[in-house]
Amino acid sequence: MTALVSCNSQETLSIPSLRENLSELEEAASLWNSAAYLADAELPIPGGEHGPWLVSASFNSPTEQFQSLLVFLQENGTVNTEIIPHTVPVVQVEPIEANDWKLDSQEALEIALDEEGIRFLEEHPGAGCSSLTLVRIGLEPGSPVVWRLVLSDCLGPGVGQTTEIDATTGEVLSRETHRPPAP
Amino acid sequence: MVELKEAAVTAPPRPSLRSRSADGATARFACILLRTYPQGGSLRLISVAAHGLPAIALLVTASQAGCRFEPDLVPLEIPTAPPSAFGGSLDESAASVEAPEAGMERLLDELLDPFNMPLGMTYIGSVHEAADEVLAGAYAYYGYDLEELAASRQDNPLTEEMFRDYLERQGVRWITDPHTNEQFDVYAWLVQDRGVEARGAIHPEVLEQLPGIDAENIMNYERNYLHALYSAHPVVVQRVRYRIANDLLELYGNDAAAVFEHLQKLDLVGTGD
Repeated sequence: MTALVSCNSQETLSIPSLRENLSELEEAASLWNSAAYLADAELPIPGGEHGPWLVSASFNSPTEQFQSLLVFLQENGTVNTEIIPHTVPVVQVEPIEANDWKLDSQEALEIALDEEGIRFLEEHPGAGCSSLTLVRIGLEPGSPVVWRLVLSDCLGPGVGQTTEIDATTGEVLSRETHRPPAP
Repeated sequence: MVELKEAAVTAPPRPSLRSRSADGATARFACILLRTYPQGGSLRLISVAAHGLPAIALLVTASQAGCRFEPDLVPLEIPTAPPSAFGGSLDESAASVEAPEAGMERLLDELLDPFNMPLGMTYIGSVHEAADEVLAGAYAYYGYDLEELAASRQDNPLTEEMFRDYLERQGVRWITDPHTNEQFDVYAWLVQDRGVEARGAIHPEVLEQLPGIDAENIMNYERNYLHALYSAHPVVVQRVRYRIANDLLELYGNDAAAVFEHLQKLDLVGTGD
């Protein structure tokens, strides 16, 4: 197991297990709409003292054309939900099912975070827009589910890194360092 | 097990300035907006307080700046009317008292609005709005459905050259500014607009979260396209919004002035003015 070092100490960088927490989020979503399905799930990479939340997941429903649901698992264990209104019809995607992904979040983070990524987090301890997201890479049917690690500083100059790995095999599909768009 | 109360819809986890205020200190802050126009300039000082201090706005007009003292002339004393409030009328935003939380929310809304203009400049009814409406026509001209492109998370297929060709072939490159009656170059607006120059630090954060979208492709920041992306993927926008708010609170704690100042700086980035 790779030992990940967080920004300013010898602590191991760890994130919650999506698999362990997903059922609670899905339960909350089912109260919104019984046909709710998982569109993506996202875990902030802890940089500062407090992350915005532990896990967030977005849910769509085939019966809801102009709203979707965001569900948050907070640090204190509570679950909050927020209806997100849509001004255009919801982009319906293929649901992410349990058997669409095998790597859990922590394992995915350890694969996706390379030395350059660790260095980025060391240099940007408040990289509050860094996250690991489980999402279908494309919108066409059968599109693979990936873990997508985005390292980014919300308030910085827009330098970061995006890494996509296959959520089943752990294969690194792409890794790009990005900079602010130039004119 | 999720309790019904917790899972009940409409409980957004909004980061709160006050929630970080351990000592209950009064949070107050002020900002100075300096606008320059061809006709002159205005300085607006807005003081915003958490506990009801009235907003103050000071407008210095070009005509006032032109006054000079003439030592050879005997001053003529003429009864004057009661002084007006700092020589000018105030717009609604200046006249209202705004709490730090509300100010932060408003600025976040503005920063994440693809059609936002920097420095509080009005977009609705402006020549910039008219120019963007012209530019929006290019997508249909080339056979693209803006909403469909954005929904399917594709990069903007239009290039600057395609926009220029469209504008020239349609004879709409130059439009009349409804306020000044001067001619306005729509293509120059496309090229120079901060939307194409980078859009500061905020919008790339959103685009980076969208698989398939290249955050370094400047054409994805064309205002109509960015708006279409935001409309198709509001969940992503909302997450980024919360994260930015959280990051600001991590950075500045309950220093509302610092938070506000930081957001103001973001609003100035890449204005291209």
